[in-house]
Amino acid sequence: MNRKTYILTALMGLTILLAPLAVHAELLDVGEVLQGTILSAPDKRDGSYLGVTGNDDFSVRDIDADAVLIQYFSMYCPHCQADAPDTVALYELIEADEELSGSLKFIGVGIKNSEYEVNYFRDEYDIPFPMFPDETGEFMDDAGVRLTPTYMLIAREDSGEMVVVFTQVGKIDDPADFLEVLRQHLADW
Amino acid sequence: MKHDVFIQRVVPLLAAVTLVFLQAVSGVGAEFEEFIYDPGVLSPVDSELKVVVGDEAPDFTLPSITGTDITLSDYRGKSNVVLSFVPAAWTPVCSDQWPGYVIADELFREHNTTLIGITVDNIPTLFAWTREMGDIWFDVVSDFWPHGEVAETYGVLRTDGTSERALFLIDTEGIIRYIDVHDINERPDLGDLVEAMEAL
Repeated sequence: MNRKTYILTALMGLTILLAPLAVHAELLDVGEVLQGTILSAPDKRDGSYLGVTGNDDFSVRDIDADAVLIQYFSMYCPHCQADAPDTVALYELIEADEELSGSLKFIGVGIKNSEYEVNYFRDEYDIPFPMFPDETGEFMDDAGVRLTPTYMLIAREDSGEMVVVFTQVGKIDDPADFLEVLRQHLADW
Repeated sequence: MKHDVFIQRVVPLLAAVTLVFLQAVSGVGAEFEEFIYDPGVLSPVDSELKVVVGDEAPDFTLPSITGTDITLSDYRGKSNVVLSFVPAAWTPVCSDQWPGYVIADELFREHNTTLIGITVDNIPTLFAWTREMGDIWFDVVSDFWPHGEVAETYGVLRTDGTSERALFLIDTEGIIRYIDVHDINERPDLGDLVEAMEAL
């Protein structure tokens, strides 16, 4: 084998090796489509909120809403723990909002967390909105999320695809202000 | 000569790119972003256990970040003990593991279990690091000097002087009932530890 062949072989090997690890190294930009993110079948209460019925896994694009706010969190992250009461307040503000209630849904995704850990977090802070485990980190990779908490607002295109409208890395701080930021981004979309 | 080119240029390239991709798949809490030193992906386990389930847990006395000494045998007849060894302060997965235990105090209490965190770092380092984690309700002790002596006794001292990411569950009689020497790059599932405490 000559040198060229060696390098070509090595590069081909590299490509094959890394194919399953092809992830978004950066957080998705506004305007990009959130692909993948197949969530496990919700229980009855979560299913009715999300408008998803049946016992099958579903995608974020199956959620019955014009827009979805996703919180990428970890039970193990102190900022997410500190942020939990504000996420509850934000959910309540959305549900009480004439314009956004029903059209904007809120979910949490526990990155690299087991189902046990997500449920523990949810119970600890009485989180009323649905939370799903992302044990393998697959959803985190779909969105290019690297830090927790990360908030990602996605909105539905005519094609049915969910497109990124707004992202924020870090805490909510003020739920009412944060809701206005979301409202503005949705209005501008 | 051709072999040299392969080894000198292509192998390091391959290794570097692989490392970059592997590093990219670990998530970190935003609050630690500026402080964390990322050692990259490490060999999952780099030591040989010297104790097994059913053994009496080797006793030790180590200084804690509160300024008191902690002796394992003091818990005999009183409570179970979980020893949580983590490799080193200010590293990605470790900065993630104990903050989870911060909100799990109820789980340990329910199972009459005392949690003790151990690393081979010195006290000032552990003090500064754990202050970033919120209200640490459990004891954190320093196995710094003689360096890693307790880790070595249990067989979880790695060849680079850090320790494994390991959990030992010890019952009220001082007997080891559960051991998880975990892949150093991954966080052990809290559910597995709770299951082990429930089984006591």
